[in-house]
Amino acid sequence: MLIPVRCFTCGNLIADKHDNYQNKVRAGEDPAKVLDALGITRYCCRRMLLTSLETIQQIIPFYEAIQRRHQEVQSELE
Amino acid sequence: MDFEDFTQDLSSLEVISKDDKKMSVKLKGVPLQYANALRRVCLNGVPVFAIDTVDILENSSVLPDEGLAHRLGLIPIKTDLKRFNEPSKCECKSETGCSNCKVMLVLDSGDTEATRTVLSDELTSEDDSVKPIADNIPIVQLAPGQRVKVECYARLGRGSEHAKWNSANIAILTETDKEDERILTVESTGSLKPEQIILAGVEEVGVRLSEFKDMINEVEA
Repeated sequence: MLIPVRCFTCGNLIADKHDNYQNKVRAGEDPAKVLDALGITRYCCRRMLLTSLETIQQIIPFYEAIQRRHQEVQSELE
Repeated sequence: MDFEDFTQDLSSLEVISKDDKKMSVKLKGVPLQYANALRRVCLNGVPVFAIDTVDILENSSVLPDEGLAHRLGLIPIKTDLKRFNEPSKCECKSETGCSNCKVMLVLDSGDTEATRTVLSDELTSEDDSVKPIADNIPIVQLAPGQRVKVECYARLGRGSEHAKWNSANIAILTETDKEDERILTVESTGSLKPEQIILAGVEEVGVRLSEFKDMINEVEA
């Protein structure tokens, strides 16, 4: 759902670099160069960042909507 | 040369390269079987801290309790081997543990106003030296109105029990041109410094070998 904390294969910590990676790649940088700059050298760790998709980002909006609706109902009741 | 000679004469270790995560040492005159034993112990025989028990007081996030506990368990935690004991070898001999073998970390997100990510720096430890190695590991994302409140208990453990206690990501032996020289490369997970892993590994191999010796003697007697 979120970026895995560690690399599945070698156990290296990768989650702390995800935010940085994502921002740079979205800004149009080459993912390979970003990974090199972050010091992720092994291909097992590189695929973790390259291929992860945070599905939590797709679910959260529904809960935001629930909260908004909840607040609307509350204000109408008042 | 047997392992005891080796541990008494650490000059046979020559540091080739070293930084805060990765270290390479040249092993001179160490038989292959001892060198490999050391490599394996460096990988998963040196105790490090990891969160083992999580009490979930509140979790209204989209991540289920076990998912949250799993993520917390995988966070590498700074380890001070001198001050803490493994629960099985601790003097307290209790199941609940004492301050020498267990550390509590608390995570409370509070009320969420806007969608945000809960990071590892929000884990507050009761011991300053035992804390996550990085401050920006995402634990969970919360929508408005969601909350996470957990109590985590970290303890020392070994990689042979669960990979979250692995002391090193990588530990490899590479052959050199000379017959009795090998290079041991250890990359730490960040919980311990690589040199600490190698030194603790040497000690651990020594302990295991003497235990083995005792066992053999008992069988003979």
